[in-house]
Amino acid sequence: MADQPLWLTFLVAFVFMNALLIGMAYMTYFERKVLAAMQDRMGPTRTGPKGLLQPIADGIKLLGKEDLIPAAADKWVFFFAPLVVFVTAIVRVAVIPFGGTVEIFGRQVNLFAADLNVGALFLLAFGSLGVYGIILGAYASANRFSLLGGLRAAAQVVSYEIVLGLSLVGVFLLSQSLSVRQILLQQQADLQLGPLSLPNWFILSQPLAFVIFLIAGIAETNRAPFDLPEAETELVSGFHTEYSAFRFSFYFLGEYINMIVLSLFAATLFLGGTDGPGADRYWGLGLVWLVLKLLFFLFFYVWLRATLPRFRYDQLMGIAWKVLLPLVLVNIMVTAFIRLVGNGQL
Amino acid sequence: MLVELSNLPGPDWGLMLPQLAVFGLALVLLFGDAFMARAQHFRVLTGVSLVGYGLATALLWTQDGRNEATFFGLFRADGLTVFLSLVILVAALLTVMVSASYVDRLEGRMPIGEFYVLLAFSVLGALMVAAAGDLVMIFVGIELSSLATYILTAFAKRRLGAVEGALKYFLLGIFASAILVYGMAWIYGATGTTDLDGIARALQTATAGDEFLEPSLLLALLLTIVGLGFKMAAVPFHFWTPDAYDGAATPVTAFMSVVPKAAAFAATIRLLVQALGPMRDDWLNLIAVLAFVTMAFGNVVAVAQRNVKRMLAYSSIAHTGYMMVGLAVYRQQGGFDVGGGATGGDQGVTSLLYYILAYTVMNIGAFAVVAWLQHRGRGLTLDDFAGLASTQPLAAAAMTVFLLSLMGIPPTIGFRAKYEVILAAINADTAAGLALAISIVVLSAVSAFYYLRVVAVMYFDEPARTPRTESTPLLNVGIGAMAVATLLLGVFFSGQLIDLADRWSRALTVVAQAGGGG
Amino acid sequence: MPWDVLVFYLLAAVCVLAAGGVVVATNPVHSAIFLVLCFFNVAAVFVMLGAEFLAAVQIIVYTGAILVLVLFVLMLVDPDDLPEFHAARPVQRAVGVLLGAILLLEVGAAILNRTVVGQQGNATPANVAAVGGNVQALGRNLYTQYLLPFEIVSLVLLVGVVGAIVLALPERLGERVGQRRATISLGHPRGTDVAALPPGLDGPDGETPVRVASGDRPVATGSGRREATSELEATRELIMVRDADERTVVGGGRDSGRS
Repeated sequence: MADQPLWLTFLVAFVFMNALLIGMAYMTYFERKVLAAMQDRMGPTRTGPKGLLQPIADGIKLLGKEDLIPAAADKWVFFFAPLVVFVTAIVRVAVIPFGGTVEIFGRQVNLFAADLNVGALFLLAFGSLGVYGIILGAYASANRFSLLGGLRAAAQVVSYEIVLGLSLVGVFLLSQSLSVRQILLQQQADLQLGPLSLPNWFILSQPLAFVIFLIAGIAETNRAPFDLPEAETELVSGFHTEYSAFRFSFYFLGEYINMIVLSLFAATLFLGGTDGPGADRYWGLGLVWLVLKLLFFLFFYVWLRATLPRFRYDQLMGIAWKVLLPLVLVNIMVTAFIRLVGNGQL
Repeated sequence: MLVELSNLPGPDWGLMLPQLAVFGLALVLLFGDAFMARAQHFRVLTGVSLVGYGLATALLWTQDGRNEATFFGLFRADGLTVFLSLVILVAALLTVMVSASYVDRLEGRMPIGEFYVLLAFSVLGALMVAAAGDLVMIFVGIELSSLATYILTAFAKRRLGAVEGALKYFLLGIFASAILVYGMAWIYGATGTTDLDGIARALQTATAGDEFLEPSLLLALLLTIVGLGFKMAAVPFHFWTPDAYDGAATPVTAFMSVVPKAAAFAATIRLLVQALGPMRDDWLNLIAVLAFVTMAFGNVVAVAQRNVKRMLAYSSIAHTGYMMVGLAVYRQQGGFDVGGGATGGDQGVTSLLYYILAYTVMNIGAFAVVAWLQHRGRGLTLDDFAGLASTQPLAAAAMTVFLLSLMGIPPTIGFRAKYEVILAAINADTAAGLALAISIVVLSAVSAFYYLRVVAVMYFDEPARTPRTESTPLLNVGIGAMAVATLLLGVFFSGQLIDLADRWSRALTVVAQAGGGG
Repeated sequence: MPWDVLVFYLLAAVCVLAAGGVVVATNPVHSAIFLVLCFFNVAAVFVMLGAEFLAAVQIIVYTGAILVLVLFVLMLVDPDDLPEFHAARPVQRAVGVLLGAILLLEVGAAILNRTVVGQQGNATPANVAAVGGNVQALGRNLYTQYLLPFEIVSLVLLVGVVGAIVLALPERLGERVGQRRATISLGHPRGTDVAALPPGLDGPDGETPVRVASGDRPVATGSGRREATSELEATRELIMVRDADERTVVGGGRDSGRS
């Protein structure tokens, strides 16, 4: 890690943020295409070649719509609630490393915006702040459907956040660090099992934690099959019923960015992030590996949505408290025990 | 340096056997409650509780005279620990005797397993405060004890009064906790340590210089006294007391009038005497004023009560005032002051400790008789006590003993305790001490009015109705034991008990002198 | 003035203003939002002090969990049911302001005259760096020197759990806990929903606005359900139901997933 001028960090952050926004736009295209394929349809085809300009058209349409505010709404809260979702989602990218320190145009550039020593907690913390956008928006709309959606979101996020955080404790125990970059660096070493040489990805040593993390992550982003806060069929889209135009687009952006961030997070913590064949020689290849892993997770999201029906509310809570939480606690205890034995302290 | 992980000193488990016994008891009760058939809860869990507290009390002898610390000095087993743990464990044992049949039969049959579990955790918290060697320990101990007590207060949740009292207790209690911990933060900020002896040493160094007038420490003192005043129900921080005492189920009232109070006094002694002793000139007068206001208010308002439980609540406020007198005349000369005469323990603190013990026995006794009457279909007002002597002479006799002891009539233990406090106040040889001694005497005369009124109603009025018969063997044994103890402990064994209470302040002198160099 | 001092004053100012907002705001939800802002700034101050772990935990625990639950409760309470938020008598208000002002003066005096009389604690920057950073230093202190209080705090939480169960369990001792399967009742027997109940259905009984006339069984099978459904459809009003799996009382069948 090299020290670099502040403007360069800003530049890197700017590039990543814009890449993220464009990626998010095409995430919607990707989702519609994959869903269409799974449901034996065509998906968007009209706008541009193979419908590739569809996200841009959608964006223009959203901005052109009328901005409606309910008469009984709590105006200030109604205004800033969507921003909370969007900002907390996009800030989280800051601690995800897209590579190490590389040389571009003869300059040392860090391919990450920040290397916090509590980076993983930072990701969790801002993830938990995002729920404010949902419940405050729901409250400010002065609408029963919205309120119920907001209440569901609050209960759901608080429950799954515990599972999400605890599922990472095993990784922290193994890596002895809370810094995302340190965790990533540790996975670049090789794991020698006799003649077998495996990448030291934490999915191999923490498979249970990985599965639980994935489930809790999907619940945390309110995606199917955990999309109860915005269940259209019962709540008329839940918390964002009253939102339209660009305010709605902030919720929309926030949800998709959260999906991408969660996927990047999972790829970095469990699948070695930028690690892959040849990545230590060409940093561009590392980025490609990361994007491939990201696409895998995003496909997984869409796949789930196309396959699984929505959970019932009590099932949702039951899974978190009665299945995932005990499992994750057992995982922590076993991991800690193995570590102590490995250190010869037991 | 931070603690090194190599050659880490292991905790000395042998030093905390009584506390571990109560902890084990709590866990056994928790699992017993979860995995045993409901029908067996009453018999088995009551037995387990009695054995557990008895065992813990017996194990106190392993701590006697050790004056050691473990867990990096956070847990101290010294004279104060032993004496206050004795008080708390005796109170717990008596509470179990009083509450068993009440919880199982009255107020819609409350779940007795959870009752005992919460009781055990509350006792454990109080024990930890008594053994605290650090501000952090004091705080978490008080919180553990308080939280369990809040829930116990609301235990008779079908009665609106219980919920109301619990809510008031809870809201004011957490507010007081916040004030207390804010004061502790100021102490830490001014002295740089949370260790009680470390604070005393830091202050000693500071007082040795001339420029010692530390506003931040005065603020800390004020905030901690306010916080602890809430917990011990001193006026003007008493507002929760009547409603919480009146609303809670009677055995819970008996418990919460003693154990949280003992924990609060333990915290106060640890904090004011042990840690902030070098600046006692700043807090002695404050405590003296609080003591006077508390006993005056408690006694005067108690006169107006027709509800016996409420009357006992105000009376317990008055007794808080008597106990605070012991603290207000603290004048430990050894150690901190150059040339002070360190001649044995401090009479003020010793009398305070002895008073807590006496108060425990007689106050739980009075509430036990109230519970005994509730079993037999009587209410809580003065009229419900009418003619008790003719229908249930033994209960009336026991109640008379407890009330006379609370009043301070010889030869009861209450008289002996009050005598010790008055003696300490007079021996303090200050105007404030003398004034407080006179106030105790005068206000005791006031208290005679409302205590004797109950006695008069019991003996001279006609019974309104025939009582229900009910079998409460454990409660009967408890009341009998407490009545005998109240009658006799003032005369027999009082020397030994006072000596036990005296040990800590004697040891404190030695410690303070040993560390006197600062 | 160095930039970090400027940033600190900015954070502190926002924090104090937000704390004031908590007290002044007349809408409880607004108070909660101000509190979020206040906690967030406290977390930022922690970061400036080099206590990154505390900052993250402050956000995760306080703003992310506790205040969410506070909002949760506030949103379940009808604002009209709340007592007047600032209904103190003038005398009470005056005394409160006076006492607050005195406390503020004392705190101010204490801060301006502060001198640390004790020694420095062991968490100096050098010591913290020696063990590898803020997180490691905190963990080491917590799990060695302050292990006992740490464990007692876990008991406090255990007592909280036991107490919550004891106080919240509505059923009579010894009886079976009822058949209710949903963990959180979404039925809300207040306002227009209940007023619009058709005459064939019973009114609210605590938390289940919908009850079938025949017996106590929840809407389940047979003709009772069909009748209820048709009557409800006639009124075109929203009715919440007792169990999560009976939520299709209103309108047609379940719709398939999203568009």
